Amino acid sequence: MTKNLVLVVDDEYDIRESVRLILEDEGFKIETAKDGEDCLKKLDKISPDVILLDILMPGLKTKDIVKGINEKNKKTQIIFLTAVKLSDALKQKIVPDNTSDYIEKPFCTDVLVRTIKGALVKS
Amino acid sequence: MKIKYHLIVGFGLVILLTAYIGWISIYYSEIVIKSLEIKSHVPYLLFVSEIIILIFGLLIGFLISRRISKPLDKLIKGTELFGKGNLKHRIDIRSDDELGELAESFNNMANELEINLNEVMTDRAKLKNYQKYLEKKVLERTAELEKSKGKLKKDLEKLKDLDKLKVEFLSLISHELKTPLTPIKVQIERLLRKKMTKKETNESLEMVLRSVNRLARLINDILDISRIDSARMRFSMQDVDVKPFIDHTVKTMAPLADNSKVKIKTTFKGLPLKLQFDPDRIQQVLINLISNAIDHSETKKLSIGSIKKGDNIVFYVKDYGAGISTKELPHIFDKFYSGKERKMFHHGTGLGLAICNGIMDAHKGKIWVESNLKKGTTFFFSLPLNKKNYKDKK
Repeated sequence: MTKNLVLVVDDEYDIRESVRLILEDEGFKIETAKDGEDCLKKLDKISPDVILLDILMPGLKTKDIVKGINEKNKKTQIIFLTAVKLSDALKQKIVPDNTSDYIEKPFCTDVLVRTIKGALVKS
Repeated sequence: MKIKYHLIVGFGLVILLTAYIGWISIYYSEIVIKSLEIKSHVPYLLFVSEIIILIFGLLIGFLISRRISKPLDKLIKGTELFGKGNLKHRIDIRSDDELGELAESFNNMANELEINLNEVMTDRAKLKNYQKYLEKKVLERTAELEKSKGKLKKDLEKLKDLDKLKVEFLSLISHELKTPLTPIKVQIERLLRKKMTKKETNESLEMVLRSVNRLARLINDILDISRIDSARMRFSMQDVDVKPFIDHTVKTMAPLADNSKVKIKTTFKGLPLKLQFDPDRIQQVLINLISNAIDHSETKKLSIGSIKKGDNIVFYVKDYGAGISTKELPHIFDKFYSGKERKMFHHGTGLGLAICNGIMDAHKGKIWVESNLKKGTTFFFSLPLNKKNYKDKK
């Protein structure tokens, strides 16, 4: 059975590496990107099943990153990572079609794994 | 025949004359003429008497008309002039008759009216002045009200801005606090649930330690900035031996520079022997600027130095990195910088420069930055020299 590929996009090194460690334990294959630009560049080479995307990063805006991801790979499921409490208005802005999930930091391993597995069922 | 003729002519003239001034009749009887035996002089006599009568009549007529119509004319003209507003006009009729009396009472009336009108005019002028004064006052008060309204509006906007900043600051703090909590939480979970090798355990624990250190730094910085904002930060000002202080500080940064393979060049000029400042806080500023510079020294070199400028000693920390854009430059002393661009100093908490700014303010010094894209960034901070410092220099 081939491993599902997850791309972790976060500007915090320790978050990227933490997520890598726990997801590798769970049997996923992990790639990381340090910002939106890096993420879009990586998508030229790889086709992840799920992208974990931090919504507050320097550089490209989340909206533009999502647009870039959809242009490159429509099947990829995006799960947003957020350290700020999401208001309904912000939720609507970030997850307008309601097809994407989001996880609030600090998250626990179980929630992360469950959300990724849920997204994989959709794709 | 001739007498009759002259009589008729004379009579006719008298009629014409009397048409204007009244009635005069002359009658020369034939008998008188005959008896007077002045027959040959009759025409002449008649003519002369007619002329005399005519002149006399005209004279009387003229005098009578002058006596009656001129004062009337004066009265009419006078009342007209007075009516038109020439209050100074008086009627000049000096006679003892009714017209004189009328003119006098007219003049009296005019005097009274003039006095009354003058009083009214004075009152009116006073009223007008008062009205002008009131209008001026109203305008002044309106302007004052507008001004205070504008000030209130500005104050309100300021308060709103402050409130917004407070909310943003709190949301940024909560974001910054949650970020290191994520690796701590997931790594502790991992340590608890997985049987790990020594290497894996160390890997997780190091990650936890890094995040805990970051949290500690962040909490210290938040405490510092809140103390600065509320002017509760305590400073212990001392006379510090400047050169040893600088050397020691640069030395403490050497391991970090070595780690990043950055070479530090120092050029200190114009340093006094002693300078008054809080050594812990100024060291905090220097360490902050040097660690930022190390982070941004893509060319692996940085310069630290000082120069005397007027009554100040200016220190500088220069990196030869990518530089900061003019758009970002004005904001780099802001807390957490703004929103998404905030993490330009990747190892910092985003509060370091705001704290440096507060520390320099407390020292009556300044901190500023100059930057050129692709050439690098230089941070300067100045401390005031006093006369004592100059003496020490000698």
